Amino acid sequence: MSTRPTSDRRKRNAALLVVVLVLAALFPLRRVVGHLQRPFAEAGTWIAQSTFGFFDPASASSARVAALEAQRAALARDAVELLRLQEENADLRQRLSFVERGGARVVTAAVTGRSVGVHAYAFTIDRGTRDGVGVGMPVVVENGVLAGKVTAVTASTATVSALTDRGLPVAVSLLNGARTIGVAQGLDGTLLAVGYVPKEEMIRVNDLVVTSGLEDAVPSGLLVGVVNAVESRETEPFQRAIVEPLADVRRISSVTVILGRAADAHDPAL
Amino acid sequence: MTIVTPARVVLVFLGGLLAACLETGLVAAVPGPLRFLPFVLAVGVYLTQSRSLPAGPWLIAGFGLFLDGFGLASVPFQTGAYALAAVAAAVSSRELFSNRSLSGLLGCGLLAWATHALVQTAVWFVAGLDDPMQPPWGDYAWWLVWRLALLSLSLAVLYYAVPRRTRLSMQR
Repeated sequence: MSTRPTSDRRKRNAALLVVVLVLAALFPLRRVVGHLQRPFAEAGTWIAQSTFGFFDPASASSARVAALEAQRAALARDAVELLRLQEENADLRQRLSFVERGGARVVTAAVTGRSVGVHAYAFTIDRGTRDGVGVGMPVVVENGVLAGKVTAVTASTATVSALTDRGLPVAVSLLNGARTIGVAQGLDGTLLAVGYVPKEEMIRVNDLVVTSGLEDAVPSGLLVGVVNAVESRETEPFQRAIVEPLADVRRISSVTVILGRAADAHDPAL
Repeated sequence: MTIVTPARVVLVFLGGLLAACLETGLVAAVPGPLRFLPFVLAVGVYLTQSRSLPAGPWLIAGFGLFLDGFGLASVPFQTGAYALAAVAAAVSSRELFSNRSLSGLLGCGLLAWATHALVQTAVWFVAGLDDPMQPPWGDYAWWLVWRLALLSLSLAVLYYAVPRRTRLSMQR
């Protein structure tokens, strides 16, 4: 029995392996996959937006629900803006914060893939270190609504963990009378929880939750969500706020990554 | 036995990539429980069981690598979970079920699903041991049930929709 076919096959496979390795070195796989994923992701977003509300038992039409959600987000932004302006009038340091926030460097990105699982915890975008994206940077939608943070990055792509990811704590501040600060963390895949809030601090349903600015890369005032419920037990000294995030990562097709302050890019000391 | 040629390897690699992009890009965005469709697992099980193609297990195992590589898995260690599911599909296809029947296809799919679910649940349980907040087990259980139902449905659709070939033609 001849061994020539087996030998030829081995040579061909070795040659193929070399070709694949060379191609992989020249064209990073993640970049190729990013381009490949993008049309599918856009089609998926279109389907999600077109059929939004179809599976919900609510009596309102999907268009009506979408319009109301957009209106709610706009009102929430207005409320945040109003409160911020009031504080600026009272405190000059708040005005300084506004100047800093207004000059943020950003880069827009397209969503190229979403996590497979019971809830949407992560998605990929078509921007990476080449565009200035780094781990920990906040990702926003709709002009200031926080969607998540970058948790992994390559030269041309990045993975963004959604706020509902249980492993992604975010430093937040509640826009209540006491300006409660705390850490929001994914609760059950759809909601967030701000725990260990002293009972003396009054929290009400519909209080807005924004980023506190206590994290290095995350500026203050980014809208996170709305307080949905407040859990408090007689025997415990703390209460917990259940927060409904305003960004639905399943229905977004493009996002904005906040790279940092504009001053950072031009500061000769950096 | 299917002859492995470089062209087939490249074809399987590209096909697997395309299927993975389809599941993470399109299927994952679809509203309602349809987004739980395990598209790659269904295609992989079908190729393994009904077509006796070695590409099937590679497709399943490769998808786990894809999910971990891109950070798109809600539960870690998908490479291991999908690799074991691929082994379960390959072994059951060879040793347990006939590749001519729908029941054999569904049985192979059930074993692959069960293996993946068991490994994933174990990993999630261990990962959540030091977490004061319990994972959403109720939603997770429903997700598993929906995946099994959609996997069975898609395997049945593939079984009846794709024209079948004889064993002789498959060997050519």
